[in-house]
Amino acid sequence: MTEVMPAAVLEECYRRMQRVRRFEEKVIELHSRGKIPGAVHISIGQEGTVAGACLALAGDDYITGTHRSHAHPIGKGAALGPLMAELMGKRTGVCRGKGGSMHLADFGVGSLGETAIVGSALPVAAGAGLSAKLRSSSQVCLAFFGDGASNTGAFHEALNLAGIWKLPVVYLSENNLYALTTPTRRAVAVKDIATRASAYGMPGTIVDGQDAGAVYRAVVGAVARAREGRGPSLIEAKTYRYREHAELGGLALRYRSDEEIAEWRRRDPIEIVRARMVELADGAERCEEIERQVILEVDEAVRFAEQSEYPGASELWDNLYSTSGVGH
Amino acid sequence: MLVDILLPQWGMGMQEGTIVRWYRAVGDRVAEGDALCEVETAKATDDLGAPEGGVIAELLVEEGATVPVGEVLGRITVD
Amino acid sequence: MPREISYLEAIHEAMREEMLRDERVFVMGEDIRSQLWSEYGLADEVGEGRVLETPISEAGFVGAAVGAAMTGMRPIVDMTIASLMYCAMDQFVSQAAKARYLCGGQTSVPVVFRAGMMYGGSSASQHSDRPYPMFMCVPGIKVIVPATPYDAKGMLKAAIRDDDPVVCLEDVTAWSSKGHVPEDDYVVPLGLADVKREGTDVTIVSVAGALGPTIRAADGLANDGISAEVIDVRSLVPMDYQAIVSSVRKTRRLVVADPAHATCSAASEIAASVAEEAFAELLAPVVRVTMPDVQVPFSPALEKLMLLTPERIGEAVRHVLDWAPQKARS
Repeated sequence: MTEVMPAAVLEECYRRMQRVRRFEEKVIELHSRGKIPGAVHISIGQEGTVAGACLALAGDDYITGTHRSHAHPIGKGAALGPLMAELMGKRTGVCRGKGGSMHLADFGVGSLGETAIVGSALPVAAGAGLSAKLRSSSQVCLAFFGDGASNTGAFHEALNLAGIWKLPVVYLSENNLYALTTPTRRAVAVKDIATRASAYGMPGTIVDGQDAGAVYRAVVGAVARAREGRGPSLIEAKTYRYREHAELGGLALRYRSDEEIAEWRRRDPIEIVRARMVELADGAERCEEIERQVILEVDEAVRFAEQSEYPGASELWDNLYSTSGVGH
Repeated sequence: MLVDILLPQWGMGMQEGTIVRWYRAVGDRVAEGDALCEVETAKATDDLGAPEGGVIAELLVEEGATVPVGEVLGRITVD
Repeated sequence: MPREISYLEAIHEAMREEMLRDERVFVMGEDIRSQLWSEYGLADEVGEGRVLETPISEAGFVGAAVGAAMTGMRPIVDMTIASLMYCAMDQFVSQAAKARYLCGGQTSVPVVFRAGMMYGGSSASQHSDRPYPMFMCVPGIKVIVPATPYDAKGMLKAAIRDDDPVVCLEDVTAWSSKGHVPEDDYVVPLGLADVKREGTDVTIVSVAGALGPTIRAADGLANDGISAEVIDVRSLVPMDYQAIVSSVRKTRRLVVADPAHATCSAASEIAASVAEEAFAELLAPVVRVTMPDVQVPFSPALEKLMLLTPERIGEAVRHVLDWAPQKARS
């Protein structure tokens, strides 16, 4: 459904998807070389869902996210350098090295924070929507979450609150069919997560997550509904991650068949947008130009991150509290 | 160009691993992903693959040794 | 004649005045428009939009409060009963306490959580917890335990104006107590203890609702010529260690009265800190008077055995006054 995207949006969509893809490829390489500590969870394969959704949001709309975090602030327009520096734990990181991969946040683009505890941000997203409503603002909050999160208590409480108070929140599930190694068919009591919407008085929509245009169209509709004061929506994007749950240094957990992975790769979200781009005048050239620019951007982000310093010991206590004078 | 063979973290909480046995030796040519050694950790025992293709330049850890995550186990000369 | 109002009336006034002063302040909680809780009547003045009744969804509305606080509002959440906070522990810890640090200071979380610690009234164990120790050990969240109407109003106002998340735990044994509360606007800054009674022979640090029995114990001790200095700690995080240590330098002996369970109580933290900072000043070990490490039983005959009494506190004071190394070793 990329035809629903105006040409300018389509091009920006291609750019953001390429940013996610190249950024993530670089993260995989750097993590395997020990340059990025801790766990990283890669979004390759899910670019269509994230970019399509973010492009349906305004600059001052909010997003919240998950441990599979990098794509979300990138999709919302965050600069790559501070994100990469944060992954490396540098003081120039967007969170000053305090959060790392699973807690990226860029308040300048409305990214309120990725969170590592599954489901934990869903009530927070309701709160951002509540805040917008109390301030009579037209802002909306889009909450990214996975399939596993839809089974947590926090999910049900948050959606019920959003439903009773008609909060301007779009709950968007990136259903990639697995929560770590557990397939959704063994964890979710209903066939589609979207059916849970009716339990909370909101519309539930299923979209093809590999088609950025389809996701864009669904989120545009949900955002309009929210801004009109008609309340929240639940959107389930059927998508897939090509990589493991987390980068595990090659450890093979063997719970997905090669055939399944290959089948999903045949509908690569970037290829779907590119196919639409090349139909436009100069489309192929624009694609190549974007790819060149993105590679330079990512390389520059890595350079910036590698050349940045780690935080000093004196920064350990920074930002624990807003007001000073606390503690022994 | 030399590339390090690092002991990766196969899951949250993994702190170290034991090199059970080396499958390859210094001087061997390997392709990216070829099994280099068997590693035993608290949670799993599995093969560690070559990070890139090339010739094994050195192996720094003996069979039976337990080393922390991130340790350089050896190096490969990349073509 | 200075006016006297109850602790709960003081809490109501604090919320009312702050909501009238700053339109970003709003209240959320279960049944708070009813006469059951201290928000009763607020909706008439500030509108129902700012006095939100929630369903039984602690994780939901605690997290929502954090999200609202991160995006420009200043919520007060009435948890009603302290034991219910456990239903939202992940939101308290992973979100409220940690959000600011995790994002490197890009936002602050100006939210106040209030809850009543109910015990002594046959509520049984699930409803009778005093959970401040569980929050004291989570960096990033502030914890206050005002014990008088004056402190309750002033500290709740300070908490609402504070840009950090604050848990205000209100000992219900103090809820109906009355005291002098000025009518004009005043704030009691967080992080300051208060000498409720000056003395020279022993320092008794009182936590939360231990204040009542501690003052009565001090009265009884005075009849026997023992001068006890009573410090109401008022604020657990940040805690005014300086005031406690200054007092111990004067009296050389310390008893801590704390209605939490003994293990990992606020009293434990105070005792360890004073031992580290002022060991040379002490003439006797620090003694804690707490609730024993058993659940609060339902039967009044058993529950009353748990409670802090002037007798137990007085006994602890006599113990530290009589203490001598030779006696301890025999």
